[in-house]
Amino acid sequence: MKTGRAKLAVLMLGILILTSTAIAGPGLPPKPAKLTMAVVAGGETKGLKAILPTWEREMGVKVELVEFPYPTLYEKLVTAFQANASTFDLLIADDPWMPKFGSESWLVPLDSTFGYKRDNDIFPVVYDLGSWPPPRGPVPPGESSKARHLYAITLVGNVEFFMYRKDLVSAPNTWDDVVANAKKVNDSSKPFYGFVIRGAKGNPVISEFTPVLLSFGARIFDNNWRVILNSKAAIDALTFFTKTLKSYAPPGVANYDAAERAREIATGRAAQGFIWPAEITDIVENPSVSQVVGKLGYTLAPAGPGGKHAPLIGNWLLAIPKGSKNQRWAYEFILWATSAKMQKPYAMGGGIPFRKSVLLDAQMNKTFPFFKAMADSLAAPAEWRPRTSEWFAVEAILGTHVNAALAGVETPDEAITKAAREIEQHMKEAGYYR
Amino acid sequence: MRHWTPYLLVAPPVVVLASLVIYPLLYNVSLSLRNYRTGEFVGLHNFARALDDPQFFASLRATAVYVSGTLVIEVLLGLALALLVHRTIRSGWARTLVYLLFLIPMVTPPIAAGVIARLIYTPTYGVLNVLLERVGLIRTDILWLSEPLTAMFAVISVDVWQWMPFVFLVCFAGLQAVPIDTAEAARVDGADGWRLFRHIEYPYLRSLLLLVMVFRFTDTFRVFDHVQVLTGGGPGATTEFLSLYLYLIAFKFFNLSYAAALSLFVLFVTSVAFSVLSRYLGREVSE
Amino acid sequence: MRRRVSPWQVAAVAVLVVLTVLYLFPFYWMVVTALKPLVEFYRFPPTLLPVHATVEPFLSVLFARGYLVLLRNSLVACLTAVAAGMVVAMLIAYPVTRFPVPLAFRRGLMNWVLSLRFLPPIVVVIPFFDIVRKLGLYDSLLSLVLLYTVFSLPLTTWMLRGFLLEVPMEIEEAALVDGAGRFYAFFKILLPQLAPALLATGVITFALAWSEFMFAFILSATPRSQTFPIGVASLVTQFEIIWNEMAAVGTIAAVVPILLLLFARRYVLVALTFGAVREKA
Repeated sequence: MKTGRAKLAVLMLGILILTSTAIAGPGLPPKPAKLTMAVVAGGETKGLKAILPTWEREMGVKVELVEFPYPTLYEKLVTAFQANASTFDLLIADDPWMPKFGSESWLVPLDSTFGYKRDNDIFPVVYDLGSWPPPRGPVPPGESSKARHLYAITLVGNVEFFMYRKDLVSAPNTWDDVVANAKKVNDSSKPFYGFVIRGAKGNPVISEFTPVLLSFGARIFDNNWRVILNSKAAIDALTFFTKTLKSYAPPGVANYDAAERAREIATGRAAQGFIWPAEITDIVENPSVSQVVGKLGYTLAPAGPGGKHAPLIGNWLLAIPKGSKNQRWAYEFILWATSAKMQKPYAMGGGIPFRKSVLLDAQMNKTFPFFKAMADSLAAPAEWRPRTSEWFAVEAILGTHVNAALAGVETPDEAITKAAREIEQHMKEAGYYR
Repeated sequence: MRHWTPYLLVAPPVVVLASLVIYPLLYNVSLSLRNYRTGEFVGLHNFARALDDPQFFASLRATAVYVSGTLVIEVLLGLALALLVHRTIRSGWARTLVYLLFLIPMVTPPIAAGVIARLIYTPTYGVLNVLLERVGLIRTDILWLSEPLTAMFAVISVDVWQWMPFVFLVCFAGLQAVPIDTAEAARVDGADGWRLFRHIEYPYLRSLLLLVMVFRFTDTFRVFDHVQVLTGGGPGATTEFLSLYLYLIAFKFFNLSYAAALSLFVLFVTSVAFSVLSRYLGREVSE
Repeated sequence: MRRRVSPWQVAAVAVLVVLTVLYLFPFYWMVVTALKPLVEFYRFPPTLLPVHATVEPFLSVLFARGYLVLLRNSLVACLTAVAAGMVVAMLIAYPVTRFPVPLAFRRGLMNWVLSLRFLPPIVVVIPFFDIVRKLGLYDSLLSLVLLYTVFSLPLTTWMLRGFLLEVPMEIEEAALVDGAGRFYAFFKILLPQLAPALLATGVITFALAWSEFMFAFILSATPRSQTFPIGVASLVTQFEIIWNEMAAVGTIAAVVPILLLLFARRYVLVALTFGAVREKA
């Protein structure tokens, strides 16, 4: 009996000694070999890649990035969650995906699990994006009874705004200004185009068209998820988009994605267009590929006939899937990567920041002339895509018809009517109403 | 040797294979009869929905254009080329070169073929427009992937590029079975090229052509990889073929029930095509 | 006596020359694109030759992006599937060609196996995802190996059947009469004769598995199980034009099966057309 106890004590001591070497700080579980993180392929992760070595040096935990092209990342995450695999410890998600992830309860709540505290330096819209159920606007059926939690925090403060050649035209405030600018500089013999459209089917054309649609005062859903897209405002917006704007755009824009748009601007062939921040540091302000460095101005998305600006938000959010076996360390990483301390190195390394202090910093705005436009757009506050897990289907349906209208296959009237009908059909199928 | 040895050998793989076919089938049937979110039984609703789905019919139409376009072009070109080479090129090494040339596209992964096609047709970097402008055929860029007609042409061209050689190789092989004496005799009798084909060569090719057409039909009917890379279904939904639409429903909308219903339809069409083939194969195998 | 060159022969040669250009130029364009540094994509018009050729895109995808791992995954998955497929196919092809089984059985079995060739992947991918999920095989190479094995069977079985029918049974029968076991007859007598045929079948199965995209796309998630075609598709990003790297992975993806094919060309031709083409290549 006595020797038994002594043995037990030695054993416990041994365990303590063995484990204590693996414990990094108070309350933290042993270090995992690595954290696996699903990210989107492209410039959005530039800043992340810039600060990762610092994390690995400070913490001694490797972070492995698995990159997916934008169109497949969502599918990949959903299938991984459905398989309930421990494949990923961390992920970055485009904010329109939050409703799906939130309503399926696939993510670890950051507030109730780890006690996350909100930070005044971060725009309120960021917390709205990462919360489920959504704190404003219509809530999908069956979701409003759930307790609201914060599931994700922005890493990439993406928001869509407007760029123009400040050496050729003045900053547009309304769509009328945009058209006047375009008329002034458009010259198809050179060729030089007044406006370049990112018109490829699906998500690309919807990112481009949504700020136009909303600025014209149209909406896709009412507060009960009934489809109210089929309106004069929507048809006017689509007519403006596919007729007026297109007449100043390069031919072939119906197949342009962001890459082609940035190329037209960077090679000095177009004067105006929407832009997402990642394209700026990567391409249009990148001296090794761009011929227009320093010639571009950035401003809020143009206002429609009613004076409404509708910049579109598209933040990339950091979150932890429930399948992860290293949730605590994943949370440590989120805290570290989004901290005020790391925000400047992150931005200097080419990352898209999201903290007020950095976006409004005068010094930073000299290096990154678009930070002010970003801050304005985020504070507007930027419009978000409707908070429903069916958004993907809605985007695919609308994206097909808007693209068809842009390619001249359907008239604006036809495209809106068909899209509205199909969206309603889909929402019915999804159980939003009978 | 016992008489049941062959059955014992065959049994394990057959049981595994059969379960890998039967389970998916039952799974799809069960899915197709339910609502994808609630799981409640909805009868034939998902099938009825297809009848009221304009996108489904649009994808069917696009698929029909694609399948008939590739089939006609590949068979005509492949057959004509086989006849031309068979009747004129006698040298062994020249034939060897033709074989090798034509085997290359067939083993190229469709994804890589899609990448190549993108590099050729893409609006800003595409080499096709550059070449056409250089030789003076066009003045302004042709927007290959943004216009419904040219986009369809582009996706069909990739398929033809990859698989016309298959038709050629099979037809050419079939022609080697034609006795040279018979062909020579017909020629001496004054038969022209067409008659030679119709009465001497065609009988040897008939069954092979059927085989080739069933293969190409079922493969083009389920085309996916290179279209995904090249047009992604656009512009609009003009190249959104059945398999792309099905993929969209299953893995973007995650409406697995409707996807299951549509996939049973795809299976039905494929089975009909196969039954044509199997009737012919029944004779061959029994030799 | 020399035959005179007929106008048809001239036409045939002309057509073949045009086709050669049509078939080789796209590859040329892909390789040239893969050798251009990124800066050259922001020039109008694109140049037919790289101005400053560089192998940087190849190094960048293989090492910086870590595609070397995907290359390894593809090789492992395809080779294993080829080996496994061959064994399973032999279990079917050997009995139906070497044993006196009823005609209806042979015909029915072979027909059924062939019917699998026509099973569209999109039809079965959802149920397969369900199976893989239940077995805990999501994001593992094993699930891809299993699927590639299954989907290679129709072609492999039919090819092996064709080759087996061509090897005369007399030699084996003589050995059997001499008292040798069936195992001996199979491994020592039949297999050596089949070796070239097996090589050809292997090359084709490999090329098919190598090209496969949809299953790998849906059933893999990380470099643990991603195959090379997934890497090819991954380079199509939202905001950047990385055509040189896209072309570099496209080149690697195409070169592997093409090299194998050139290596085994003679038998591949016979096999690819179900034994219909017998010309020596």
